[in-house]
Amino acid sequence: MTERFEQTVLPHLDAAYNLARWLVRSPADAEDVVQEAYLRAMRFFGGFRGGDSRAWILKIVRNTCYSWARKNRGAGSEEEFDETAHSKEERHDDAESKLVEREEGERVRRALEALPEAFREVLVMREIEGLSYKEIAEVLGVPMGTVMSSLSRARQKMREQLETSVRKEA
Amino acid sequence: MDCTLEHYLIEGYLDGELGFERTLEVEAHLASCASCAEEVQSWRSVREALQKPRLYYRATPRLEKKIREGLPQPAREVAPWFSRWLWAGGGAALATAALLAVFFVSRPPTASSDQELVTSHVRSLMSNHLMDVVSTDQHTVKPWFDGKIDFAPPVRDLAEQGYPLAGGRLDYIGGRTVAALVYHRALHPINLYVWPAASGSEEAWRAETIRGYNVVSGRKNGFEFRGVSDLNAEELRDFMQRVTQ
Repeated sequence: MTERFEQTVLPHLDAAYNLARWLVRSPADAEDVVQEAYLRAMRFFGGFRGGDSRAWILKIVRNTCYSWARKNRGAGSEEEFDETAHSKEERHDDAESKLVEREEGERVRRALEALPEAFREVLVMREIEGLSYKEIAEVLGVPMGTVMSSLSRARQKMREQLETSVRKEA
Repeated sequence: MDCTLEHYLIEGYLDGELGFERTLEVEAHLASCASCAEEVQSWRSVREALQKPRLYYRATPRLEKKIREGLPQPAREVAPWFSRWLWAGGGAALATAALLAVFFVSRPPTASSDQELVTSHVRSLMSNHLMDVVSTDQHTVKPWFDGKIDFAPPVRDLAEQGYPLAGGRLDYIGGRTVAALVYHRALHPINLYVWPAASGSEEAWRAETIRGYNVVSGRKNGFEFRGVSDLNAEELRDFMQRVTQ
């Protein structure tokens, strides 16, 4: 059992951490969430009937992120989430080097971090993790059509966010 | 705006989720519609920025260690299939023992290394470590193995048959170093593992599915061949036949 778990689920550790890191936006919290998710996964592993193990573990990671967020932010909405508190570390880096901030990559990272979770997660799964519509649908537990419309709206939001950041810089 | 294309087709095109016909349809449209072409282009540049390695947060070795330590430690000397039997066994010990004997005899000797193959395949995709030598030229890939392993794996390019060679690397399967050749079929990577066969007799292709991946195995021309891919079993078998001809 342990060996099969190691072979099936552990290879997706980077994918698990990447998704958690983007969702909770802090390295330390992401580590806690992933560790918790793997413990849960171990418990549920008997019920895993094969198939896409990456989508399976990502689904558990995502659920763990959401329960973590509910616990840590109370029942409050997305807007109450204090972004500055969670990106201090990066801001500190930037103070040392203003050049970094001008990098396109940094701008894109900020834009993505600023998106509401529902949009952020589909973009992370599709563009960064490279999941197919079918896999994303499995992780989110929604039909493929919903994935397509979420992605479409997420891209729209991302474009707007990038435009705003360009205007701010100008 | 006289653009009549359904917007979801643009998204599907960007995501490689359209079939052949639809893709051609969208490409024809893009050639004549400046605003859609611009949308595709602008998203591709955003995507390029999103796919930079610094935006992919990798787990630290410390996290992996913590997780491994949290796993229940199995008694290592008991093979996992055996302990699974014990778990499932429940009551009838005698019946179990009798079945176990049958199970043991009928179990193909390579089963655990097939598991290893799939793990290796998944890892090679996950860690961006698909290839150590990147080349579509068989005359570059084949000599690369010289001096790294004690055999010369047969390397064939099958680009014309729709399976272009992408490169190769060394891998470690069933306690020995093997050659892993990487091919593609459209978007599906194929890992072809090759090592010298212990026996000279040929063995026909057999296909199995392990954790959602297809594995086609066989012995030919003095080599063991294992193909692993998310490609469907028929095409993978076709590939194996061609690559070992």
